[in-house]
Amino acid sequence: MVKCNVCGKKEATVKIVKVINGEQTVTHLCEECAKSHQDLNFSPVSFNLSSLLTDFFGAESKNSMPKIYNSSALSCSKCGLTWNGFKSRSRLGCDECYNAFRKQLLPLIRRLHGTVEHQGQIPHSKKSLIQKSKSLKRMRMKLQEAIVEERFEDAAKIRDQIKQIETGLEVEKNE
Amino acid sequence: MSKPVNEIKSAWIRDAKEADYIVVSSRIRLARNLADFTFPASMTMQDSSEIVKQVQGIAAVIADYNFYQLADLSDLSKQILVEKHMISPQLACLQGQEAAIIINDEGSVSIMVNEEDHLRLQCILPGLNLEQCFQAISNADQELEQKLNYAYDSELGYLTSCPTNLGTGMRASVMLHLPALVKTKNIAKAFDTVAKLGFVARGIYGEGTEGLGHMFQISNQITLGRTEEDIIASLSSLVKQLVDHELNARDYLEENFLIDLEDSVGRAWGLLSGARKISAEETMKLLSKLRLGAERKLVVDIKPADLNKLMLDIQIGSLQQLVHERLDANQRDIIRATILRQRLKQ
Repeated sequence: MVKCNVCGKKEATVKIVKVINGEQTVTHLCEECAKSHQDLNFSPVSFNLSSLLTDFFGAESKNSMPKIYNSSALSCSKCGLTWNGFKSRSRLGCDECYNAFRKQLLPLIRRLHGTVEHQGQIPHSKKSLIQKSKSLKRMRMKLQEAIVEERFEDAAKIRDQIKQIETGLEVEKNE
Repeated sequence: MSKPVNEIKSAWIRDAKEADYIVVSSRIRLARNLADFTFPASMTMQDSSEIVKQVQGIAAVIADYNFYQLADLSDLSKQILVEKHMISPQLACLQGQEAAIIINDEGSVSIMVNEEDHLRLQCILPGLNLEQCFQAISNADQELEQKLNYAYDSELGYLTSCPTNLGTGMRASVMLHLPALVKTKNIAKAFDTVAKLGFVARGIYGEGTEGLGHMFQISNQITLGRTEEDIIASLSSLVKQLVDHELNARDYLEENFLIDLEDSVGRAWGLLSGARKISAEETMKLLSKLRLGAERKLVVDIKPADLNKLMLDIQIGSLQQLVHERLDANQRDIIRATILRQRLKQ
């Protein structure tokens, strides 16, 4: 039985294979975690053609909008900007807006840049922490792949490496 | 102690080399915000003044930085900074908030405080020099980052006011003079290629697709998902290709229409050196022909640095600075013609 990569408990019934710039990553998810995973959205409205089209044209047709998209009350706890406020001026109010409106912003960012993952420079003070968390994420994926492909010796090695990085991260966070 | 702002010369104008006829200048801009404040569009007056104070404190200990509060600059000084491409027109007319500008002694690095983002750092150098710009601007960025807490997200990178600048927060751009591609009607095709590679081309001066004086700016559209070095390398190689196309088009014009080309350069020189009253728009069009002639060594002999200086000095703000007087449109056209006659004596 392959366990879910997110909760690590339940049996994985969904496998996502992503190929980005030739690099393949495999994610295994249980049904519960798959429902909330960013790459999959099982809610029926997300596959609604009209919502796909309005998204594509960047416009909104109010009549065809299901309730779930009516996020007018959505606002940022730090600066108070509402999602509608952002839509009318195209400027965010503060850094926290990116968390408050993350779900709404990610499709827009993807449309603008073709991706939602920063590849460039990292501020010096955050460099070590961010690089370690990123490599941890990569290693965990590799571990799952090794287990799935029954390369248990590799898996053991990767698991040890993960432990090492995790200990390093803990120390750094506590400093 | 900061130098008087009008005394700082722009590096991209002054330091242009012999070969910098086609690639006029390279520019790298970084957008940065501080995590502890709301972005400028939502900021209180108090916050804006606190940020200016913090940045002033950092600038004070860096030897070659000159710091200016926006409120202390005259409208004319602000206009000249816009004409030198050191600040944006948006910052020049900002009201209701405190803002500031830092410029280095060399006139290559400028930092706008409280424009659309808390910090907009840029470096402009003459010719194709994107790597050097990036090096200079990264140094400035690191100096600021040591003392300031930047808004950064491990997935989305540097957080900006507008999501179009997200990630690297970097806009790399190059100013190009492409008269032969326009003349041979190849410019649209060239810009199609530019767009396909994720870059944007636009005219720098004036409106319309031809660009006044055939000056164009090519810049990256995508700021997220690519490294700074990758964006810079792609833009550099794209610019080299465009320069090759422009040179081929110039060769073609010279081989097939030499007399027409010489005639056009000679007439431009005649008008510029003989006119008694001339508009900025007409001057820019004619200077484009002189620039092309100078590069081909036809009719005229003018260095890129002198042509860049003329392009700046005939602008509204710079003209008035030269004569230390406010001028109406008619007076400006007369003074502009006088300056051109003096500079183009051969």
